[in-house]
Amino acid sequence: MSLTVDGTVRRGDFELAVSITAKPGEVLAVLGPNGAGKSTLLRIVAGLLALDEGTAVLGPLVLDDVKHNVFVDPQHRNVGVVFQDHRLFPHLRVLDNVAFGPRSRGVHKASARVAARDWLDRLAIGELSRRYPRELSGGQAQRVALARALACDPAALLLDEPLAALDVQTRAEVQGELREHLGAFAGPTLLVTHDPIEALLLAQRIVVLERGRVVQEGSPAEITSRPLTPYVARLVGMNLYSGVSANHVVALDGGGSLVTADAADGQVLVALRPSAFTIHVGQPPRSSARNIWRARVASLAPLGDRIRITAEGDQVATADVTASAVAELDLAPGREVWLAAKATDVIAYPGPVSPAVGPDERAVPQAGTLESMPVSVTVRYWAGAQRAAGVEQETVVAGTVGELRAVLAGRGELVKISQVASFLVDGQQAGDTTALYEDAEVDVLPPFAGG
Amino acid sequence: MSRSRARARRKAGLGTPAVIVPPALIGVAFLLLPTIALLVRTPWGDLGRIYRHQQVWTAVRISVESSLEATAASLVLGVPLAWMLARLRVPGMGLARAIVTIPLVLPPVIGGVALFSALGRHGLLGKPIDGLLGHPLPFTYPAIVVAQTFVAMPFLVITVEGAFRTADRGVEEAAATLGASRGRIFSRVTLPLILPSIVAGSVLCWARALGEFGATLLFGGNTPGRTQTLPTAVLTVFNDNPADAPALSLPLMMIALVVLGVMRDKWIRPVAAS
Repeated sequence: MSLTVDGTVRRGDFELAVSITAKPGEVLAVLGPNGAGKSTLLRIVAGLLALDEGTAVLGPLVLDDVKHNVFVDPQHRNVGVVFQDHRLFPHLRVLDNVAFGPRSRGVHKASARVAARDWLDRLAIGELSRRYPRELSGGQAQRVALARALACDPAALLLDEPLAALDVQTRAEVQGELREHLGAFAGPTLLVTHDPIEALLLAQRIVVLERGRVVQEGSPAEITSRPLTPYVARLVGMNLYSGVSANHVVALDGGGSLVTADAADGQVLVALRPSAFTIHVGQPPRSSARNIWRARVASLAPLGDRIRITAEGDQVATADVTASAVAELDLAPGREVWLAAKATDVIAYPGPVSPAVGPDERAVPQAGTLESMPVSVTVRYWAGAQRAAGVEQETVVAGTVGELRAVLAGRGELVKISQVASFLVDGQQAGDTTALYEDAEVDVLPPFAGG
Repeated sequence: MSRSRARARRKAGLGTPAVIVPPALIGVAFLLLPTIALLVRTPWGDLGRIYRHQQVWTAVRISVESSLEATAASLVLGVPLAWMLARLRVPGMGLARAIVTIPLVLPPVIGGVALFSALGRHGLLGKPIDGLLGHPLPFTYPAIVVAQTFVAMPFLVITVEGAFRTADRGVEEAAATLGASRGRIFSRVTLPLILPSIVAGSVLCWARALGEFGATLLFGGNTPGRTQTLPTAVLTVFNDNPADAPALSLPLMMIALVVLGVMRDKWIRPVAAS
């Protein structure tokens, strides 16, 4: 049973026009900045908002079809929604909150409560059943909200920023559990989020929404390696330029050029990891690198065990080097340098029909790719029979986001992740990058913390 | 310690300015003195004689019964009305809200005249009501309830309307996605959420109905044993035997105090956001 929305909604000046499909068992993340229309899309599927044009279909059931005057009320859609602010009924105990759905569908009170208790036990929160929502922590409330949505045996699941209201520690815990439960859910799941890490960890496919339009769609790997807009590039931490390519040479909009091994011709986007640049001082380097730019260092900032350099020449570029390289080359703001990059590290691919990269937005410095972002997380889990015995195992993942994803994927029995020590992000960089991670409530380490 | 802290606060310029103290004290005295005077002037020795009088207890009974019935009528009509005022998005709703509050600002005596014009023997609806009841409405027990409802219901409506307006729509949406029908959302989610406001509105409404005098006297009359309530009985006694009037005021005052005491902590306070 898959979920398809192909339609348009208008609210004053804002217009959301999308075409998306989530397959059975798939978690589709809808990623975008505030005001992009993510929640609007979710409300359309839930039946809380009617389309102005087009259709919404869930399996065999047409939810909304403007042309044929079909609109199914939210009551009859069988779609489970987990709201950002959980929206539990404050006057009902946890058990009755979870039993509310089955009761509304005509299940007898006693059987509805049995079903509710079963779901609470499955989510390992059975001991909360007699509490009122005001007696729950944020993480507990979000778990109860998930149990309440699942207790209706929904055909599709909608999650609206399920982790945004939680503190860093709780986020990591709930995120791990959510991954487990979403994996067990047979229907399509729509996960609305503005946090790329949440999308990368929980979703198999990502749709990026900007100003009411889908600007990119693909697997996490595709999104992170070939961003199509400055927003996506900023999210995944890539240098992104636009230009016209001919015979492996891309003439960049705004000046300068890049040699690429990719063969795409015509209007292209060019993405480059900050770690792909090497930095040289003095004479132009004699190197196998096909791309050598003259630039002036604009700023330096620590990023984990590396230093993030922002340099300005024909284009603005960010490059990651080691602290010892900074010392050896005596890099400081104003220093003239050469940036070198191998043609094989320059990824060129057809861009959107109209160039999406504006000159002002191109200047935003980028972090390393999100997949390579350093991370240190303690993962706690029970394996097999240990779960019943309550024996916890613990493993520390100190590596990258990509490695963490691999570890999480391999833990069928994963119960919770705790202690997100840090996603190391440059605290001094241009507002955009920092603000992005403040949004995501990820710890931002002060410069040079921990040496 | 606390003394020095108080002095420190005064020094910091955060204490009570001297100029507002005398009017505040006069205000307290002004509000308290009549109540105290009532207690002082109550003929405590004669209470037995006065209360043994059959007429008093009948008036108490009629007062309590009619005010409770008026409150019930206000709930039945007022809660749905409040919902419509709060939730319906149609032009003219502002006007409707203003009309509802007319009895709040109208002198109750004028309210009585208005009821006559509408429901009296020669009123706009006089004929059909005559036919329905077999007799004219004014100066009957139902007329008392009608008069009290007219004056008291707006208190309930505006209290409950505010609650409907500020009630969390998000929770209602959540209930809809869980499959709850409109009726179930209203009865199982919205009403329980605003229950404190309904109780508070009902208490206000009932207290207003219990003390209602002007419209009741004009539209219901003051016939001992049939339409005489405690407030209108006080008028009769005050006319005939002024010294006994404070004694009759005591039951109303006691009821008011008990209601205040019991309800204050439990219901009449802003509902804490959960």
